[in-house]
Amino acid sequence: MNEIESSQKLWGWKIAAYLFLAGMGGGAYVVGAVADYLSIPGGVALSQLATVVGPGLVFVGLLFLIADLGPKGRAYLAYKKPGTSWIARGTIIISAFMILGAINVVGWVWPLKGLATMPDIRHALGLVTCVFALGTMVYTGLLLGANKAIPFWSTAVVPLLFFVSALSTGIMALILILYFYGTLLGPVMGRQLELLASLDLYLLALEALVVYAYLQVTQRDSASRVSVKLMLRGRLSAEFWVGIIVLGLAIPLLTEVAAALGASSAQLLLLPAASACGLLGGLFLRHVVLAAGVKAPLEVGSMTFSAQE
Amino acid sequence: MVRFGMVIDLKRCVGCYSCQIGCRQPNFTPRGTFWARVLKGELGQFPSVTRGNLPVLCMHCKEPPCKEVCPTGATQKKDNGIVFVDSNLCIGCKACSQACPYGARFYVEKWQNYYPGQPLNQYEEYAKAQWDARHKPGTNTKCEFCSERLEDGLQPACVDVCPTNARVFGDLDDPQSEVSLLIKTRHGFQLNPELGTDPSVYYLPSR
Repeated sequence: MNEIESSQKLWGWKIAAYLFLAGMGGGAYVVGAVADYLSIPGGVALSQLATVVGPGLVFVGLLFLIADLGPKGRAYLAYKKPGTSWIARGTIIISAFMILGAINVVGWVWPLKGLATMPDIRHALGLVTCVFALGTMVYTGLLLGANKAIPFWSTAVVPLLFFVSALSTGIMALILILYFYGTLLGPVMGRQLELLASLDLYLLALEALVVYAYLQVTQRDSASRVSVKLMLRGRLSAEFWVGIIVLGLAIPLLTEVAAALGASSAQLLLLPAASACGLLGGLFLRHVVLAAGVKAPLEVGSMTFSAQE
Repeated sequence: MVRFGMVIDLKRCVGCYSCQIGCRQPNFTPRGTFWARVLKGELGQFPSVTRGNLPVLCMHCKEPPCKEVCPTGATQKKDNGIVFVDSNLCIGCKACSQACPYGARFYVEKWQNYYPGQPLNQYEEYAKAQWDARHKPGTNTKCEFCSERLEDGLQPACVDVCPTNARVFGDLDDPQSEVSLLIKTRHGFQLNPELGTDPSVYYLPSR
């Protein structure tokens, strides 16, 4: 089987950017909403920031998705068959998330501020929005996971991986923004960064485990073994080892461990840079998972034929 | 009720690609798009190697995964079992191409001529006009068992052009049809049945 020709080419960087931004946006929103709910110091300001950033990132992601479509004018039709289609379900989930996000922004951040004095209503609205934010983070993985024709995608590990990465990249996006707009939180900024970084530390460790588990479960099938080979030793190996393992996992993880051990100001300065690396890793992760998709071969007796177009 | 299907006899197929090219004539598919294809397989190690041919086309599955994943309802199934795309509803998301285990769905951004870098010749101009009249740019396309030819009382083009008569077209719901009898008497099988797609294209073993 010719590896170079056999993996799918239909969903490339634009779809990877969409999966990445949608996951990150959902993750950022959820982290902010939880911070507000738990009333941590500076939690309200963090949550307001996440309320703007989360749906905003998803919106930008959506532009990448639409750019990948054929006739863009009728993209809105994508909601019509939620009974069987994960894309249709995703369209509904994302639309609901963005509408609820917009209500949050308008009622709390700008131009109205009414929700600031009504924490109960705000928390209830945040909870409902969180449901759709979580849906936004996970459905892309379920969409790939439901594809039986491509064994590398057809596993429950993909939605788990995308979920953990979405939460982690959401946190790293908040760390980056907090660093540049830290005055938002005033004196509690350092404490906030530390808190976010220590939470991300666990998520990155979990993500590393999930990546390992993904490599294990995809060894079972001959077509997904081709995908794994493409990723570890083939055309996608630079993206996998440098993009996902070094930039996406090792650098942020080590920096966050250092910050957790003794949060000196130097270490805090490193956090935003490490977060930027981690974000790149999240983008590479989506792209590699997509680009390594290989169709299961067609079998006639013991002879196999590649069905990849 | 009629359920159209096809039987492809792998014992007769010589892998000549006539079906792949013959499909072009009535359907005007652009460069790189082959609704009918011949796949080549290999088994064993030198010096004892067997080569095999596997002609594929849309399997017009009873449970089509392409229809399942389509978010707009552009991919539909007729009462006669033929799976087709409503070009006016397709948004070009390509999920159907990813879901089809048989590689039978082709996303076409725009019609591409057969000789890259050269101006269209008169035949290509005609083909492009025919294609554009049937398919919107940036939509997904596929074999429709030559529906237009069927309406004219003809068979699908790939059946007609096959020089070894390896292809038989007919009604799977009629137990006395040639396709049904061939499947029954010659151990007809479907490709990758474990995927649960229940294809309407059957194959007869090569030996």
